[in-house]
Amino acid sequence: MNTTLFRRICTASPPLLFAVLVLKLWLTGTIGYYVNGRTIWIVLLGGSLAATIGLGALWRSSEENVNASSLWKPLIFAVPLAVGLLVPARPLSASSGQSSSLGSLQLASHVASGGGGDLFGYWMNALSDHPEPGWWTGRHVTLVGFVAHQTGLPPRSFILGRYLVTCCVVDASLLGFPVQLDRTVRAPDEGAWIQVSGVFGTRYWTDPSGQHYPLINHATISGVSIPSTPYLSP
Amino acid sequence: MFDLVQQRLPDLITVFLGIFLEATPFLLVGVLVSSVLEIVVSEDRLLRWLPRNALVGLLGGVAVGAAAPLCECGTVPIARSCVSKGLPLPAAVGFLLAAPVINPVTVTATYTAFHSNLQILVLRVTLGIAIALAVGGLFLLWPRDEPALRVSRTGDPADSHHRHEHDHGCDQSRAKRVSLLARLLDLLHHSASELSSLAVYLIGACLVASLLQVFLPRTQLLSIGQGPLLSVLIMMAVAVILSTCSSVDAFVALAFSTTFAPGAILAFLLISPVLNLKSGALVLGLFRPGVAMPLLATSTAAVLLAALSINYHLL
Repeated sequence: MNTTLFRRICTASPPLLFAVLVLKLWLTGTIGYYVNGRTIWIVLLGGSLAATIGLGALWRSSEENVNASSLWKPLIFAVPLAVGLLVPARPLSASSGQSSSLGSLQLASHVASGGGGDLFGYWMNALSDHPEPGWWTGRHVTLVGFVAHQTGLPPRSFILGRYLVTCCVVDASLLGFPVQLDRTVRAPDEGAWIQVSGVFGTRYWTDPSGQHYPLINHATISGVSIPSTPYLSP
Repeated sequence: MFDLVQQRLPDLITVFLGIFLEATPFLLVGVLVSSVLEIVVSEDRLLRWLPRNALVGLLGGVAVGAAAPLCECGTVPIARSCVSKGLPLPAAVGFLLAAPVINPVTVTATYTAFHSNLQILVLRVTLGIAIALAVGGLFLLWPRDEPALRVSRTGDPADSHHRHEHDHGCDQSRAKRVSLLARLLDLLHHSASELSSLAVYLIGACLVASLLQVFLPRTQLLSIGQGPLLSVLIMMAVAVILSTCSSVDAFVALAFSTTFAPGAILAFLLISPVLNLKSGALVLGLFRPGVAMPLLATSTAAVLLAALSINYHLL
């Protein structure tokens, strides 16, 4: 390979690698693990633009005058792209620092109700709309989320959580309901995605910031795969 | 410690890629448009659009800044070039401060990131304009015959052909002679080079933001992020250190939006394009200390004042 071709490839590789990463995430249906569903089109547009720029830079036939000392920059750009291409896509987990506390209940009123049988958003809206305990007592619920632990929960309890993502995962806020298991039910592992069916009781749990949550009791749990849209949307 | 890193590494990668995927399209648009300005639009034509009167020039500079889709690394060399060709200093300062904050790419990115809290967008634009006018207005006092630029190694302050730190080999006179396809390829090649240059800063900023989000418990961030003064000072320091490109800094600010006071978020969004390691170095390198130091100091003071007013009185 001659030097000119090598430099041309170095210049073109960052946008081309970005385009390949976007293509991979799009084809595997995992872009939603990183950004909100409503902004996926921006990422796809960026991928197309990057492919155009990369191919144009690769094809450029006129005489070039690329400074050799600037060749390390494409290499730096390539590192995160290579990580994105090689590491399997995974949504934000329960062990992230963002799950250390539940998000403000003010956010609950902004959650979209969702669709396709996913009622997590609907019940979060209800949490904002119905602060009175009487409304919740005896209502049956079936929800899908991941297991998160919080300080101050009653024994044999966990938070069934989902992240609310407005733009991309960096702004994720944990929302969820406390679930209290009967003695006969085995506690699920932290971070596991599960389906919980249970009934809201009369008791409330108050988190360290003073927000009240109705407890889901008599819960049955079963493992589920990670949904294609793991996050809640505003 | 090792277990913690091992446990949270996948989340670090997820958060990093989340910011990176969302921000890079805006960076691509920014480098594409600045490449068009670099290769297609000549500096002489740009100068013809700007008025020569200092006061009108200041308003014109801010207005051009609102229309020119350039990040701070593009605006500093252009402002220097225009001053060297006789543009009044207040107009250059107005352009320099307004363009990175209120240009269409930055505004669109800020809207995308903060569409659920449009106050941030409105305040960023209005305060960006106000600060540009106020600081630019101070330079109305600058004597017109007093040199504002550092003298280049060639001894010619107008020697500003290479607007960016990388050498991309573009030559406008040659470009005019070659075919449309060749110019298009020049444009794309320039964009790719520019992307590599600027993405280094973006990657560093994404990494720091991801590390803070994943490893620092939100409760700790909240404890330092809600103090009206401390939160502003911390976010201004973070902006300087991260040196994120203004076209994408809204996504980095978003990482702190649930834990820091609104004034601190705005301080980050307003100071980042003016005073970061990248643009600050460019200003200090191209303008004389007598211009650069007051410019950076008054801009910082204005942002601090605006952010504190928001934290104490408005939001």
